[in-house]
Amino acid sequence: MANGVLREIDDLIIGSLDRPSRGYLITLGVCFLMLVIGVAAYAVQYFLGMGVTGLNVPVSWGTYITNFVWWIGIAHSGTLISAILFLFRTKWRNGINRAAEAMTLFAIMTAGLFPLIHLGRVWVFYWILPYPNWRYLWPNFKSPLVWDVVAVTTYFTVSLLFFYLGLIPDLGTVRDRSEGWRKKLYSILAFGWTPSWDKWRHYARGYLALAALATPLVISVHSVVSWDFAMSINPGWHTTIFAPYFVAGAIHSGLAMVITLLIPLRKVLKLERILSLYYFEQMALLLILTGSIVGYAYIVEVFMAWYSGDIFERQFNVIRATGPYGPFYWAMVFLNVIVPMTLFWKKLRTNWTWLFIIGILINVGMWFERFVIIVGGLANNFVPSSWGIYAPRLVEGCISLGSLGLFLLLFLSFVKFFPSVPMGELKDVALEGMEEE
Amino acid sequence: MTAVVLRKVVGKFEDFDAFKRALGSLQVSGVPDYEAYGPVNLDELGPLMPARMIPRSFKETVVEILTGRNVSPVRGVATVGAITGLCLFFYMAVATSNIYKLIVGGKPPVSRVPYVVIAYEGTILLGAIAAFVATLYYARLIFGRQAMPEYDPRFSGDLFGVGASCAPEQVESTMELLRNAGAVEVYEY
Amino acid sequence: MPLTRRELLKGMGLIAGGLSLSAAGYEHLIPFIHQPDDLIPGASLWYATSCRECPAGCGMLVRTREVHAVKCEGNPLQPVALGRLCVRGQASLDGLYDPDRLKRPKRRGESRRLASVKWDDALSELGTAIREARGRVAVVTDLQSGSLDALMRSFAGSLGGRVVVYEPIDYSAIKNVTGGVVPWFNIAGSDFILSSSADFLETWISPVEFAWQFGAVREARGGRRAKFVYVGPRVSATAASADLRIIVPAGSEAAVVYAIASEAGIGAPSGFTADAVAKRLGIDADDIRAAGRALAAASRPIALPGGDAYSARAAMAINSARGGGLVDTGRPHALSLVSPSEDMDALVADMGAGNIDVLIVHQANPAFAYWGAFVEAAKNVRHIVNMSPYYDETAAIANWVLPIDHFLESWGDYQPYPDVSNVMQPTMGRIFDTRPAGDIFLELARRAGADLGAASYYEFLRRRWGAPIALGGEVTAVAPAWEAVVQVGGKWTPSPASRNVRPMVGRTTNVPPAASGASAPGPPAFKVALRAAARAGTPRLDFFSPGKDELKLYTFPHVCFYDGRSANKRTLQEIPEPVVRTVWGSWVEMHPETARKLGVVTKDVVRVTRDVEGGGMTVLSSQYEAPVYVWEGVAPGTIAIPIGQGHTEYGRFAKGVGANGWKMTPTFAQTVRVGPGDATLVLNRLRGSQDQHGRGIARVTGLGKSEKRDKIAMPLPQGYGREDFQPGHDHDKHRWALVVDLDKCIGCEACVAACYVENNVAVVGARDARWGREMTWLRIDSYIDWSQKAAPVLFDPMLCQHCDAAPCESVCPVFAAAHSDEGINMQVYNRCIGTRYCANNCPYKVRRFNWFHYTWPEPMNWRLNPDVTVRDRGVMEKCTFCIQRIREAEISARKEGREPRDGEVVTACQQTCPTGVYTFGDLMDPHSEVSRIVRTDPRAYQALHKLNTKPAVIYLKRIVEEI
Repeated sequence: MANGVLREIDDLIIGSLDRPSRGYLITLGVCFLMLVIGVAAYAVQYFLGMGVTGLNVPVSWGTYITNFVWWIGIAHSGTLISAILFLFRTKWRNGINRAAEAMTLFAIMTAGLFPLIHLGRVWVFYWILPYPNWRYLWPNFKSPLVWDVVAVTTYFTVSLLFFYLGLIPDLGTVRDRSEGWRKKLYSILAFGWTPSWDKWRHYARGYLALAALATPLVISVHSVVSWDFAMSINPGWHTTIFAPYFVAGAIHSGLAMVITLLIPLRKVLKLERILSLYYFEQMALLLILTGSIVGYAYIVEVFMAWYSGDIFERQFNVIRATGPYGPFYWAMVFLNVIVPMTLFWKKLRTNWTWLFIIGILINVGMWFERFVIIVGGLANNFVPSSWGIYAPRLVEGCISLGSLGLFLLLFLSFVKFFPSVPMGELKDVALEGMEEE
Repeated sequence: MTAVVLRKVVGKFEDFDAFKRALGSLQVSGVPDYEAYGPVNLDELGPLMPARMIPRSFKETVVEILTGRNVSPVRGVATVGAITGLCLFFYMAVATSNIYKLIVGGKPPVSRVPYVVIAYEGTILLGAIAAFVATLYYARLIFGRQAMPEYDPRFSGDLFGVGASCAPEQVESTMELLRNAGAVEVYEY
Repeated sequence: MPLTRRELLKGMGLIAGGLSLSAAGYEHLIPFIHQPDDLIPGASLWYATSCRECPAGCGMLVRTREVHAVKCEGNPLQPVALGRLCVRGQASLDGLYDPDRLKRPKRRGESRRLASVKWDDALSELGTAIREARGRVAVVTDLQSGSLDALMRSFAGSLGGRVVVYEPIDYSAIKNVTGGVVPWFNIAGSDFILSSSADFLETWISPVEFAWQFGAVREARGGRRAKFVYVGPRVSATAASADLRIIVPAGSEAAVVYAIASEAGIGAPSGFTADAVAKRLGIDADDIRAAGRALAAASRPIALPGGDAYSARAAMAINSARGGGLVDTGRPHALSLVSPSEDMDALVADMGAGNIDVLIVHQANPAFAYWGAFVEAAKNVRHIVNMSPYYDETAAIANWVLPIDHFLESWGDYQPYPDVSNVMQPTMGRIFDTRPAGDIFLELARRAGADLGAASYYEFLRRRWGAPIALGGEVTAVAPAWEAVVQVGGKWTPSPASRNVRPMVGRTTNVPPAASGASAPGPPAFKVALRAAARAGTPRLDFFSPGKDELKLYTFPHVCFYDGRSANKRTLQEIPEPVVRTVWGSWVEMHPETARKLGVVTKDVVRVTRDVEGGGMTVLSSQYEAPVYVWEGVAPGTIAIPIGQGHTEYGRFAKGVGANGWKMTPTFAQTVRVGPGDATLVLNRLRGSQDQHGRGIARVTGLGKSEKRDKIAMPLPQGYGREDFQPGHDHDKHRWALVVDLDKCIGCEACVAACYVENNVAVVGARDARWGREMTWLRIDSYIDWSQKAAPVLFDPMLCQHCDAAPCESVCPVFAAAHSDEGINMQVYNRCIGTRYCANNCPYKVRRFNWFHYTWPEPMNWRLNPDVTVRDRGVMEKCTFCIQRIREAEISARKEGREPRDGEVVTACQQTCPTGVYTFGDLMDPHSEVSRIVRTDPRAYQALHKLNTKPAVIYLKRIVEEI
């Protein structure tokens, strides 16, 4: 009977919202501690100056920008899974898009902090925003950094709207099934949603429109981020392949992060029956694709350097592969390209442990990739007399740790307050499944 | 026109197909109006609902917007918002660079190519906001909600429901119709 | 008690008296509170004086703003400087405003602790002490050739004491040959220079004078220019500028010089044939032959006698044989006054024997340079009086520490040559409770019962300059002649060498005419002590050993520290040694072969030990501990170490930095042992590669080669062509540009120091400098490629190129980096938010970021140039083309209702460059010098032209001439 299935879905998911377990609380505490460490480290940097970091001339961008790009990349799979796969009517998206979108939001929030942490004079960061002022001083819209600001803020806004619109029906459901303060809370959050056809049809159109807008946005945002580098003149940065290369890389790391987060999540929230292996296998397959694209980009970069005959590009590529950052370079090739290829084997693809490990490995690999691109590109520039080297110092480490803490803190609190799996979509799937029978 | 007091008949279904059957027969039964409820996206039920044209093609959408027949204008509003964003952001970029006419990197103060990025993001930003607000507006979320006396909380959970408003003489036949369709519960409201 | 009117007036009278007394001796300095007529706030006031950072005696102009000295420049009229200064002269303000200067007189009690004393008490106590000493008095002073020298001699004379003029670098090697005279070297008159390990462009005798002479003769005229061969153990900056370097083991220069001479057919001791010497020393015989041929071909060769006695002798032999009067012993340098080292040894012996009761050390620092023996002997001296502005090593063992005025605070005169007399005047009021050294000597003499016939040193000085002195020693009238002399900074006859060298006039508008009248005191009456000095005879060839089995030691004065007296200037500490690019410390140089033998690599720390044998036993063993730097610039088997660091006192910037090279002297070709050292020491060396990797940033060309000119993308609208996506943009009126002539650059770092002082550039310290955070706006890159025989080391001044299509500008999100309508690449500090994208995108990497909040400890902040913003933490900064100087010139031009003349704007680096590397001007003026050069000079090129950034800094290729 249909409603049996539907009720079960509700029970499972809404059940995941009640009293947190002890393990959950401990994890929460740990994340909070990490955040505190990060904040303390930032205080040091704020009062003493950027000098407490390992930055220097020529390498004046380092861990912070690496983290920024890394988090932005992670932010990408969310919208990919919900928007693009929605347009393609991909069935397997429905189980995981909510968690993915939430991850996106929190990743953007975390990423957005890093440009500020990185600023030499953060107290005047708002000068970069286009706001009317009596001196008529506006930002320089030619600067890729301003593109960044516009793109990332847009991305955050749209992702938020998209996420919330998808959440509304489920909030209605939760409201109808809960009492007391929760009922009050969810009545407010649900915007007075009732699942009548008249609402559903407007809702469907709105959701479609947002998906249609979010899709090109996903592509554009990480392209813009890549242009932070591609628009400069540095060897190793000034490359036309960067936009697709970064987008693919972003999705690569994003999917990996979704896997890394959801595998423990389904255990903690007891959603094993809903978040079945099926979804993860699909993502694993997608990882093979993105991994190959990234690998292709690596090859093309080197090939173009050789083919262009440009002395700076050629020497740069040799130095990057053999110089002080060589180990990172080869590590990134191995972790981002070779490791995902193991997913060709169904045995590995369907192995929870391996999926979890691979998720982490790819995330590490993608961090290395950004690090090698940014730092490597700066360390060996045009004028040999200015060549240098960069190594992060304690402050940067602590702040990076803090950012991870912040992200996890947000995500964990999310899964306790909102249905982390979209019920409506699941019900659709269930019904369709029954019709097919 | 003589004021006819319409009376509501509510039917509840556990089975999705029965629910759809009921809607189908209601459509031909000459009941002036009825509303459907369900925990899953009911957008596809359009053909089974009272004659309110559902846009199926871009052409139709345009026609609706122009003729103001306003079936689901959300997409239309989104489009308008997007175009506004495009123009607005491009204008902002050009106008602000003309204030001081600063030369950077040997480029003229206004250089169009980079501003395309700004305009592009603006398009999406305003388009998305417009779509969201329009959805809330037309689906009457936040902005004034209509009374739904027949609403049952389980409609958002595992039940499907039909609320038909019919003339007094139609009540019996409608209730009968719903029962035949396989409603687990039928009552007049 | 009610104050009566009478008492009030009395009190006021006293106060007034106090005021008038406080200005005694400073007739021309008036406190700011009642404004003097010639002092306009905001307008700079220039005072002429003499640089005393080394014995060279360059004339100096000091720019003061609101009675603070803020910048030193060379005196364009004075024939030694011709308007230029060296790196040390530029940084001399760091010495004036040294935060560790002595602030008041002190005496060391029985507890060996210093306690402040009143001047009066100190002088009276010392006076009695000197009287009781009865001639057992000695004055050790650094070189003073003018009135102060005379005063000290009459002081010692009247008390039966002696004066020892002590300069650690005493050129005794030359004196041994000439009979006590350091002659004048007319390099400008020569067409072939042979330097026998004389770094005459860095520290040797009179570097600035020699540098501008060198620049003049290296100017290619009619396809010919002077050739330059360097023979020495190490590729110094001077050697890097040569056409041929013959790198020989330390102490073997003489052999090579003799060989060259014999090749050139000049009578040289037998056995020194090219092949024999080459074989013996393991060098290339062809080099010697080539040098010999060049010497033979030269019509007016000059040999510079650096190195040890043998090397000096060999060089002077060439001069006497071929030198057409270019080495002029008739125009002795003031250095001739330095007492022979035997005198100092004798004094130290007497001190040790307890024959000295009062030892007055004036500015010299024997405890640092003469070290061990002096410190030991000093224990037996009852009163050691240290007269110096600083608390140096000698002050640390003195029991009287009398702070004297810095030379920029004091009256005086200095005579580098008999026909050149500099007058020194106070450029500002004294900062601390110090006194003129002259006054102290006079006062001490008086209290000791000897009257030297002058009330004050000023009066003494005026007497010697023939001033009308009334009874009682009051200077009645200020003679106009004296006025003129003080105004121009001295009295002199133009140097015969400066015929075709343009004096570098800085921002001082309307230069006064050279002074006349006011009879200068005649040449310093020094007795040419024709001692039968241990004249270095001519050794046999086998005397010279290549140092295959044992290690030879070579010590060289650091271009920034001379003999170590400049070590407490943090600007100089942060300016790298030109060739090896080390900062903040000492190092040990050795050849890769040597390093392999010793099993050490760069950055390893070694302890160099020198044992002085005496009577079959080690009488003295000294150590020098520093990190190793391995490079091919040193002769195999030779260990090269710099002198000047390793102070144990002297101030916060010098104390404990590096090791003391003087502990390895007297040196030349002595053997040393090398062992492992304290591994905690770090090699502070600027980062970056000295290999160009074939990128053609510093380029070379043949002499008079008419090869195809490099393409130049002019930073003007016409510079934009097909390869440009955007059209060019116009500038209104001016487009400033700078031409840098690599052929003239000798890497002396003077421009760098000038930039630091002019633009308030911050100093970051050893750790950050090592980490790539030095703030210098202008750096002298040195690229090394040993496969290039004629010019293996290329100096390449790198500064903001003020590109017309600047990559740094377009990426700034807030327009902090933008283009001015005069073509200058502006950095708006107040607008900068510190994204550092501009630095990333600058291909020349000349942008500097304020990583911390950098400060200038009191009173160093007085030095800050009021015309230049001091940058705050978190903002980017870089070269501005000295925009403050541009504005100054434009304003003064506008006042006279005209356009600025070409050459009227002079940047700080251009102003001080001894060889005239830089030319600044307006590219939009077709007749300007820069336009002419860019149009016509076949050597013109742009760094990284390929990137099409259209730099406004145009380089001229270095001319390479095989010998």
